[in-house]
Amino acid sequence: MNEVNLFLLNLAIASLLISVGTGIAGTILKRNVVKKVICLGMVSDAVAVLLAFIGFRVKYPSLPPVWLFKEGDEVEHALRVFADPLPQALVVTSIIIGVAFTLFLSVAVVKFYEDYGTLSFEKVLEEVEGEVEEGIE
Amino acid sequence: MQVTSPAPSLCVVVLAPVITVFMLLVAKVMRNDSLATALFWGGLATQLAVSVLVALRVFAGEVLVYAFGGWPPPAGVVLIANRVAGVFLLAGITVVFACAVALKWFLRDMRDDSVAAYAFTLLFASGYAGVVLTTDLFNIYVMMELLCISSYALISLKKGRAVAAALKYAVFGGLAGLMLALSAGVVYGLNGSMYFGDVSLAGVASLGAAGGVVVLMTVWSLSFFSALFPSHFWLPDAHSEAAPPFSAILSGVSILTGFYVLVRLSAAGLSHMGFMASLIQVLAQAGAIYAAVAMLVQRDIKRVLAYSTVLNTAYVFMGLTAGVDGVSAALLHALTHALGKALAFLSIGMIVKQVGSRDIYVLEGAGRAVPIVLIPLTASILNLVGVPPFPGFVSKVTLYKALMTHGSLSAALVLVLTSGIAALSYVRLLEHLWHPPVKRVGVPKLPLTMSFAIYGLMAAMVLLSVVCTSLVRIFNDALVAQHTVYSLAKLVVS
Amino acid sequence: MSGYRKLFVAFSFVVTSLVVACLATLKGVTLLPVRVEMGVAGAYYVTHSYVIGFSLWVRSVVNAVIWDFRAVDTFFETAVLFAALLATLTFTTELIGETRRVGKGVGLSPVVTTALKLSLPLALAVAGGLALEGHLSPGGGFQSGAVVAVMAFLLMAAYGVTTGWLERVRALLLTRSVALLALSVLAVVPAIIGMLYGLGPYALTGRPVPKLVIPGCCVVPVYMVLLNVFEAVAVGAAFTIVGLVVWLSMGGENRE
Repeated sequence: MNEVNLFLLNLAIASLLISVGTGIAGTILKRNVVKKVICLGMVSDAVAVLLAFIGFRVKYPSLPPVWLFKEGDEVEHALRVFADPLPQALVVTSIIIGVAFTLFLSVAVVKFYEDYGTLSFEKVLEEVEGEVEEGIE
Repeated sequence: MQVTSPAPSLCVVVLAPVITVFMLLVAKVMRNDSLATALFWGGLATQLAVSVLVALRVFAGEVLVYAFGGWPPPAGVVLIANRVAGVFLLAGITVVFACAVALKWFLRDMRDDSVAAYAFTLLFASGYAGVVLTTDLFNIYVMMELLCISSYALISLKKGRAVAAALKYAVFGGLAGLMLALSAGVVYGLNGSMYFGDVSLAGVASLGAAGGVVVLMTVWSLSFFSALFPSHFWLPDAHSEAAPPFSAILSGVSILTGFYVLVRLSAAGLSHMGFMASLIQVLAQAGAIYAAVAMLVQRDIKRVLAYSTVLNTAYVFMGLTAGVDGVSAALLHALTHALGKALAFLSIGMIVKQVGSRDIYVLEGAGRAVPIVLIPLTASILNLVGVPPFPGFVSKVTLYKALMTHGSLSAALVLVLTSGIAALSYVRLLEHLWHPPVKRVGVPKLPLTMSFAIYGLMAAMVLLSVVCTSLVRIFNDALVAQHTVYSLAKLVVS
Repeated sequence: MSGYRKLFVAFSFVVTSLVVACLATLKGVTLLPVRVEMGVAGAYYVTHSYVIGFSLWVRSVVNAVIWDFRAVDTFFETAVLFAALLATLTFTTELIGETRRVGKGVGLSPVVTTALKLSLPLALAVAGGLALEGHLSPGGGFQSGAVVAVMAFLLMAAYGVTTGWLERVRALLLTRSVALLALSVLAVVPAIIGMLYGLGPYALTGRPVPKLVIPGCCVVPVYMVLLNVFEAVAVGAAFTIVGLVVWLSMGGENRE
C-alpha cells in the first residue's frame, strides 16, 4: 500500500494509542473518582476502536463481511475482500462489558458520595492503615 | 492419555450457575425468596457434583475436551480439562460452596436481601469455572470480567467502608481487563488465532515490538488479578472490608486465576523469557519482603490476612520463573494457600462478628471463648506458617527446593526470610487469640451450618495434606504434556 | 487549567501523534499488526456461515460469530451486563428508600413531546428491524435493545418521571427476567436436540436446530432470530429499568 495510506493509518492508530495512554495515566493519577471513571471510559472506547482496526483490510476494495452474493459463489473473492469478522465480534463484546462496567461504577460512585460526601477514595481509605474502625467489622 | 470429546460435564460446570441465576431472577421478581434460595442451592450443588465428577475422570487418566458448538479451534471456544484444571476447579468450587454454607449467618450485615448475594456467588462460581477450563484468549477476558464484576458486587454488599474498597478495586480491575482484551486482539492480529495451543508467550514475544508489548500487557494484567507487588494495592482494602465469607472466596479463589491463566498459556511459566522473568523475580521478592513487614504492623486482623495473601502470591510468582518444577511447586503452594486462607477468613469472621471489632487488641482472648472455631483457625494459621504435618509445609519446602535447583538463590533466601518474619505475625495472632479472656465475651450459639462449613474445609485441608507430595509430580507431568494436549484437542475436535 | 495550558496539551497530543505516525511510515511498518490476509479463524467464519452444504444460513458473518461460533462469549457478556444491573439495583433500592422526594412529573415543552410521539413508531420499527434482521445485516440483539432504551430515556425526559412509575419497574423487571430465562432455555435446547439425534451434546449453537424454509424466498435460521429478539427485549428492559431507577433514586425532577 502506498505511503499516504500508510501514513494516515499510522496517524489514526497513533492517536488512538495516545488516547489509551492518556486514559491510563488519568485513571491512575486523578484523585477524583468521577474523573477516573471518565478516563476509564476513554480507554475502553479507544481500545474498542483499536480492536476494530485490526480486522480492516489495508488495501482496497474492502467490504463488510455480509454475504450479499448468491450462495456458494465466489468464496475466494469474499475471502480476499471481506473485513475480518472476528475483531468486530470482539468489539461488540467488549463494548457491552464496558457499558456494564461504567454502569456499575457510576452508581457505586453515587452511593459512595452519599455515604461519605467526598469524591476521593484516598481520603476515605487513607486512615485505615494501622487503625481500625470501631463498631463495624 | 485418553482424550474424550465432547465431554458435556465441562459445559454443565460452566453454564449451569449462570442459567440458575437467570431462573433465580425470575423467582426474585415474583417475590418468592424461598424458591430463589432453593434454586441457588440446586445450582451450586450441581456445580460441585459435576466438578467432583470431572476431577475423578481426570484423575482416572482422561483429558476432557468440550468444543462449544463443535466448532474447531481457533474458530470456536474449547474447554479443556487436564489434571491441573481438574484440581483447581474442584478446590475453587469447594471453597465457594463452603463459603456459601457459611453465608447465611453473615447476611444480616449486608445491604440487600439474600438473593443478590446468592446471585453474585453463583456468577462468581461460573466465571471461575470458565477461567479454569477455557483455552481461548478472548474467552478468558469475558470470564475474568464476570468473575471480577461479581467480586466487586460481593465486596460492595457490605455496609460501611466496603463501597470505597470495591470502587478502588473496580476502577483498576477494569483497566486490567481492558489490557487483556487489547492483547487478545493484537495476538489475533499477529497470529491469526487466539487459541492457547497456537499462541505461546515466548512465541508472541519474539514477534517484534508489538509482541513484546502485548506480552507485557498480558503479564501485567494477570499479575494485577493475582495481586503481585506493586499491583497489590487494591487487595488489603478489598479483602478486609468485604464480609468474611466473601473475603474467603476472594482471597482463596479469585487470587488463583491470574497466575493460573499464565500457566495455562505457557507451561513453563515465565522461565524462558529473559527480561520478563527477571523483572517478575525482582518484583516478587520485593513484594514478599514488603508484605511480610507490613503484616507485622497491622492492627486490623483481616488486613494481616490480606497482606499474607500478597505474600503468598509473591511466593507463587517466584516459583513461576523457576522452570517446570518451580511452576508445579507454585501451583501446589497456591492450592494449599487457597484452602488455608479461606478457612482462616471464615473462622476469623466468626470471632470478629461475635466480638464486634477487627482490632487485634480488642480480640484478645476472644478465641478461647469460641473453642469450636479455635481449632480450625489454629490449623489454618499453622498451615499458612508452614509447619508439618500441614500441606503448607510440603508446598513451601517443594518451592524452596525448586528455587534452589534453578539457581535463584536470592529467591530461596527471600522465601525463608519472609516466612520467618510472617511466622512472627501469625504467632502474634495466635497468641492474642489463645490468651485467657480478659473480658467477658458471650459464648455464641454456633449455627450448625457454620460448623459444617468450617469443619468441611478443614477436612479438605487434611485430605490435601495426604495427597500433596504426589500432587507435585502429577502437576509436573500434566504441565510437560500441556502443549501436546492442546494440539491433540484441536485434532480431536476437527 | 488555563486556556494556554489546554492549548499546549492539545497541541502536544497532535504533534506527538504526527511524529509517531511519520516515524512508523518511514520505517514502513504499521503501528498495530493490521493483517493483509484474513486470519485462520476469520476465514473459517466466512466460509462456514453461508456456504451450501454446511451452513448456518446467516448472511451477516459477524452476527454468526456472535451468536453461534462464539455464543459463549455473548452469553457470558450478557451475564456480565445483568450482574452489573443487579449490583446497580442493590445500590439504588437503598437510595430510593433514602431520598423519597416526589418529582412533579414536569416534562419538556409540547413541541418535544409531539416530535417524540411521531418518532416513537419509527424508532420501534428500527429496533424491531435490527433484532429480527440481525442475521441478515449488521445489527442484532444488543443494538436493538439499546435503541429501545434510548427511546425510553427520551420519553422519560420529555414526559417527566414520577414515583408512579415505580410500579412499572416491577413489570419491566419481570420482562427482563423472562427474556433472560428464554435465553437460557434457548442455550440448552441445541444440546438436547443434539443428544436426541446423535449430533453431539453441543449447547449454544444453531447447527442442530431445524431452519424454517419459506419456499420461493429464503431460509430463516429461527434459532438465531429468537436469540436476537430475546436479547433485544432483555437488554432494552434492563437499560430502561436502570434509567428509571436511577432517575427515581435521584429524587425525580428536583435534583436535575
